[in-house]
Amino acid sequence: MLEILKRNKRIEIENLLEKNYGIKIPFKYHLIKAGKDKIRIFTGNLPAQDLRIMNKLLTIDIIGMYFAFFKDQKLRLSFDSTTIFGKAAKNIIDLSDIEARKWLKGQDLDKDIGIRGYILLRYDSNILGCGKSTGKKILNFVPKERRIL
Amino acid sequence: MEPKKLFVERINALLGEESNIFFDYTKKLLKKIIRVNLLKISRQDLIEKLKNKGWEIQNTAYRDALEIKSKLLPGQLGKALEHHLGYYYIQELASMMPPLILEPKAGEIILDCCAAPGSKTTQIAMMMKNQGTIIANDVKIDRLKALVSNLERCGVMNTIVTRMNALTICKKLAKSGFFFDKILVDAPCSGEGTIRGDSTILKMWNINMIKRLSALQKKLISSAIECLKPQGTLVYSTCTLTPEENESVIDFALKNFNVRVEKIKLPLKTRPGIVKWQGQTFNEQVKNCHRIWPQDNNTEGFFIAKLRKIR
Repeated sequence: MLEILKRNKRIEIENLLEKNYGIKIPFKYHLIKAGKDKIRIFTGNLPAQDLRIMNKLLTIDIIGMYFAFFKDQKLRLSFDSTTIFGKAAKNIIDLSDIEARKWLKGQDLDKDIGIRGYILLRYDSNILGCGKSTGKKILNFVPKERRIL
Repeated sequence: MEPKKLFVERINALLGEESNIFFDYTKKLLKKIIRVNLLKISRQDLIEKLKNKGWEIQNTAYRDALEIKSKLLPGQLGKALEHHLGYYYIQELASMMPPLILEPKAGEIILDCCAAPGSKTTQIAMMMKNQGTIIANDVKIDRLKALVSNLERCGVMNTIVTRMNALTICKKLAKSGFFFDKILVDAPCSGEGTIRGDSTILKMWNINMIKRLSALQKKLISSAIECLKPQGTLVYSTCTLTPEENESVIDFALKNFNVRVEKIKLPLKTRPGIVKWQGQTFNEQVKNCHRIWPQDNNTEGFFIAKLRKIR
């Protein structure tokens, strides 16, 4: 079932996006619920009504791009979202060459960055996804298909 | 693997003495070509990053395509960080031509009938700057997985991916009043143009398959025209060289629908569509179609036609 997020939910996500990551998306889009906690972003120019009609008419596999995981008022951006929106973001931690290799293998990093919560990782001006800092570690969320082994 | 006798005879009939050069090219390795994904990085920034890796980069006839001149290990191009981050797409130069002819623009609604694995869909989305809407359809589930993965990696956000028979999707959409500004029919084909990259094509090649595919392609183009807006553009392309799957399909569309074949310019050397083949004479407009022969640009082989729906 296609569930386009309503205005209040969307504002909630936009506020989190700006507060946590300093990101404002500069174009029109729909946010669509996919599964329990996943949100997809669709920048197509179809009105919501047409999207609903198409959803009834066609066998839709996916719409737009996987944008973020949203649960308990926390927003974790997807790997591919960070590579698009992350360049001008805040809360970015720079990685060394060794750390970046480890990170891209899908491993957690033993790194105390002094803050807790979701952060973005960067190596050599490339944004490498979102991690969760626990205080002692940065938990890895690089999806399997983006890992470099 | 050596080509089958009938295949050689047909290429001889199309090229005459030049067929030797064609067969020489089928044994040569393809150039390593990538397309810059402008949704994620600028051309200049990517060139800089790749040069910093020690790769030698060369411009091509199409600005967004770059040739990697350096010797790389097998699979190295696909395993590079820049590829994982969606900064580029590994795509043959000739295969970048159909989206160029389609000229997708931000705000348009576009149907990509046979979209997987997504090289052209991601290029179309890039040209639309992620604005407007693409319906990217394919029927095979394993190919659809590759399509979805490529769309995600390239940061494509304006696409609805559907899993349907192309004939059914066109029929359903037209019946419900959804019409498209532009449609790409990159039709399933016998793949004669891709022998350089995939020698199994020669093994699979047979004349019955060509006849079957030609019938399917005629159905595909008919369905696609039905859901095209008046004055809308349809680009028909294949990566094969056989006239039954190319000029014959366009001739069929000209006979049965109110369409015309438009003249187009490409940044590659091309040859006009052929008007006579095995006793058949096609509509003169097929001369406006483009044949890309491997030996002309050191690429794969391709066929492209741009149709305009008159009303």
